[in-house]
Amino acid sequence: MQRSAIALIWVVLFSLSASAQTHANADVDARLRALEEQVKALQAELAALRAASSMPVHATSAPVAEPPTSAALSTAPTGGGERTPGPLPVYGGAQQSSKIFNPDIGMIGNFVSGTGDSKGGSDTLAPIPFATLQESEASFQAIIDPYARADFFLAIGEEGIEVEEGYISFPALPGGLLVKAGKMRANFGRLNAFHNHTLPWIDRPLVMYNLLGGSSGDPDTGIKDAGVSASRIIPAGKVFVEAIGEVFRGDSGTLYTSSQRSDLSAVGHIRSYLDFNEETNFEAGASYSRGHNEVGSDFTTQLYGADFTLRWRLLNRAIYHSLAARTELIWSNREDLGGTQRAFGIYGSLDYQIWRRWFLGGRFDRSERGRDASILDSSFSGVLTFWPSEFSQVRTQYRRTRFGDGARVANELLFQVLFTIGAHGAHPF
Amino acid sequence: MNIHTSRGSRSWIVAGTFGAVIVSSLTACIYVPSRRKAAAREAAYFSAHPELPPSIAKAIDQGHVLLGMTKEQVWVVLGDPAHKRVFGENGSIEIWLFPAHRLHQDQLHSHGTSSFRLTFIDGRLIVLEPI
Repeated sequence: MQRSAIALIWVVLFSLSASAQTHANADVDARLRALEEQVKALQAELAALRAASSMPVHATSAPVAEPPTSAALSTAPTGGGERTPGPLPVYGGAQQSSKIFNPDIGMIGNFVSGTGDSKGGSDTLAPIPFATLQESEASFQAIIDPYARADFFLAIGEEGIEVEEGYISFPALPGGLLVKAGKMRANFGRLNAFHNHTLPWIDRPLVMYNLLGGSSGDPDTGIKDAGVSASRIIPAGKVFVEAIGEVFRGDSGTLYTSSQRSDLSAVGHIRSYLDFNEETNFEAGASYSRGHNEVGSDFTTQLYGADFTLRWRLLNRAIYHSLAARTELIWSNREDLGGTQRAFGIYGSLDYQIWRRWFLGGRFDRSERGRDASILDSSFSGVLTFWPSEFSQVRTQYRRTRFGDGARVANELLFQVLFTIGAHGAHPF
Repeated sequence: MNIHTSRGSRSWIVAGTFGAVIVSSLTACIYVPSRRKAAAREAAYFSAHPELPPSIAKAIDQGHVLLGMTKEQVWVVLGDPAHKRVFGENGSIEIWLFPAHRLHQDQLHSHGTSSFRLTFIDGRLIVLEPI
């Protein structure tokens, strides 16, 4: 009897256990089916998202950017992680995340050395001592928000620091308009907007000292001022055309002086570019500028400019041989108490890439002076440049200058080392 | 009188310029900004090309353009070119022009230049030069 009771209990327990096992298996099966359905749904959703967001690019037509939908943007992954075939794409790696609140910072050193003599007088053009760190340019660049970016370039010389450029750009404006506000180098002619370290020579051409800067002692001459710039690319078929209009406060070195708030200066520039073929292209520009000079508000200086650049690059050996020919013509009408000084200046240059990292060039200068057009200065330079890498550059330049006042002649041998450190980040817009 | 008229017109020029900047900025807010378009391009490209070499993926992620990139990869980084020409047999050579503010990776030679010129042969970038 006792054994029968124990056996019955075992049978009941086994039955209950089997029943529970059956229910558990059924639950697991149900949950597995549910999970499988969820995985299938997620896979379908992912495939749909990929299909919706992938934009095919055709080989012979310009790709067109489609504005992303809010759904696409909200589902776009933004975190870190490894880039493996499995996980979703990665944006902003650890390097960018670590400096997310800092701008890209770069530093360019411009070491210059000069030797030679100046017969008939000690003054020469932008005199260069035996050795000087002529300029250390610090750059700070960052995206402010999705609509704007900021660029600062501080020129640190041996005698002080200057904001060479500092402006906010709005590159996302409708209609292809690019607007900048701040202090900047004006888009007058070809070279005025160039920083010193991007020039193909150690110095700037005579015409820039005589007509755009007014001071032969400033190595970084040219029109630079605080104001607003607006530019737009104009569709013109095979020709690329860009129009730029700028309004400035009216103070730029010794060229323009704003005696009162309404003494503004203005710059207009139109630039056209044409590819003759795959190896040769040509660029032409016309410029106009007007501002008040230091004589007073009723006295203005007007500048007219024309610039031409021809470039050639052998595509079969694209990194070895290239040529660039440049010329720029500037006319100046400067009003002062004695009447109007009408001066003209020109430079022309030829630079040839002889080997992969070597460039040979020459430049001639001829310019009257803006304040006294009866004085004509002329110069010739020969330049040899070596690029050890993208981040450094060594250059030597022989310069012979004949000054119009007192028949002074200066023969100088200049030497330059350019080097850059820091961020080289790019910001796609 | 002329001086006063001239000063008045200058004031209007200044007011008009700043007004245009402000209006343009506000108007821009209703558009999808290009920066977000770039992010969307990256998202789409990375999704479609999980096999990308790490060097190319890193360059695209950081907004750099490298020699040897395909046209599509350059487009992902920089967007549509401002100007484009096609040369060569079967259009094998393409030249793209971009405004300089799109790219800042060669600061020694590019500060102050207005454009970048990119040359592709058979779909690969072989020349990148500031002009």
